[in-house]
Amino acid sequence: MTQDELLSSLRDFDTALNSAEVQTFFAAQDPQVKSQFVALRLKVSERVAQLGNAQLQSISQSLDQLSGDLSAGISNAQAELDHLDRAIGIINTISSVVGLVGRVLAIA
Amino acid sequence: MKVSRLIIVLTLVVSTMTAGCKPAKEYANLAQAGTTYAVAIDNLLVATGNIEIDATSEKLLSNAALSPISLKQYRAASANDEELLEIIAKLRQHVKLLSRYFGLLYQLATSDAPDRAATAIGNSSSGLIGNLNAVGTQLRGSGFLTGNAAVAAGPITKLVVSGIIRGALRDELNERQITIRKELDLQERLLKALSARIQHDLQVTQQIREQRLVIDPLTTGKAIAKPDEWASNRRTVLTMKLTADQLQTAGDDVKKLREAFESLISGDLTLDRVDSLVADFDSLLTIAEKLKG
Repeated sequence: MTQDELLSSLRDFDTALNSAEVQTFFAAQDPQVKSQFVALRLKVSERVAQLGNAQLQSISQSLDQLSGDLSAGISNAQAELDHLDRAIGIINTISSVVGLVGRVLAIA
Repeated sequence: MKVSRLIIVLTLVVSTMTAGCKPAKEYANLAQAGTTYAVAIDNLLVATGNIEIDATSEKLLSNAALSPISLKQYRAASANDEELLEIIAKLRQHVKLLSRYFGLLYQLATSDAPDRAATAIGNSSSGLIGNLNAVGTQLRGSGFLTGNAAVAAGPITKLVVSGIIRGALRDELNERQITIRKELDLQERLLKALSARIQHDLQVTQQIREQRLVIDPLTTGKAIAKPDEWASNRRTVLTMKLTADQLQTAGDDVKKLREAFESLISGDLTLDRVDSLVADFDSLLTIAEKLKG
């Protein structure tokens, strides 16, 4: 049984323990039985949450390993955008300078 | 005449440069699908935390209705919720990175740089060519670039810049392909894990709330004090899991995104397919927003 399968089975068990029928049944039992049942039900919920957290933690750690390369991709894409803007800016600057030269020549 | 030939050669060069590159629209749509996915998964992460805390609260109430809960038992239940919130915060940080990556790819793919470059280059009477022509006329009585050549300069510049952008997108995705494959594989696992967790938590919450708000007041043998409120509670409780059930196919959406990425890399991606992917992620986003409340 894999960890995911175990988690799935425990969730089914947890769901069954929290059904209206089970709650109604134990509501009619004596205090000691109720107390033992509550302790068991809380333990099952705790294990389900722990396994679920471990599953997400494992995915999170694997994703963290990719963050560096993703950041490099972000820098690369940003650099491309900046490069395009700079190139167009340079053309516009040259164009303005040539325009000024044209006006000076027209006056002279 | 020489200029006309130069334009033909330039057009051929541009055609060669852009051949084999996917149209920027396909890159843009794939990046849009990725960005929408990132927003959806971020909403789902927030929803997972809220729904889990609610489920724990309902369980504590249900247990306390049978037998008193000790402080130790309460702390143990809360500790797991707090740990989940910490993991979710880390996952959201990574999702922000993913969102920024796809966002920049989209920005690059939809950049107006080709049009701005064409305007900057201009034609016989505007932009750089226009100004050069004015200076040329002042100096030697004729323009630098005139007639068809001047008219074609802007459109050719636009093509060249578009080709540069497509090349940059293709190179970036090629360079990052192993990382993106791993990322999408992990995102598929993450979405399935969140989906299963949300469905379980909502099912348990639904059962306990139905008992607390609907069954108990109905079966006590006394008249229900606020019948309208009871009916409204019953409707809310019975429909609360419907949205979560729609998450069942969500993992397949990420699988489709991964397949679309593979097709883009191999040059087989069609616009229809990527459009359908954008629609799938829009639906996922709607579900995630509903769950986040």
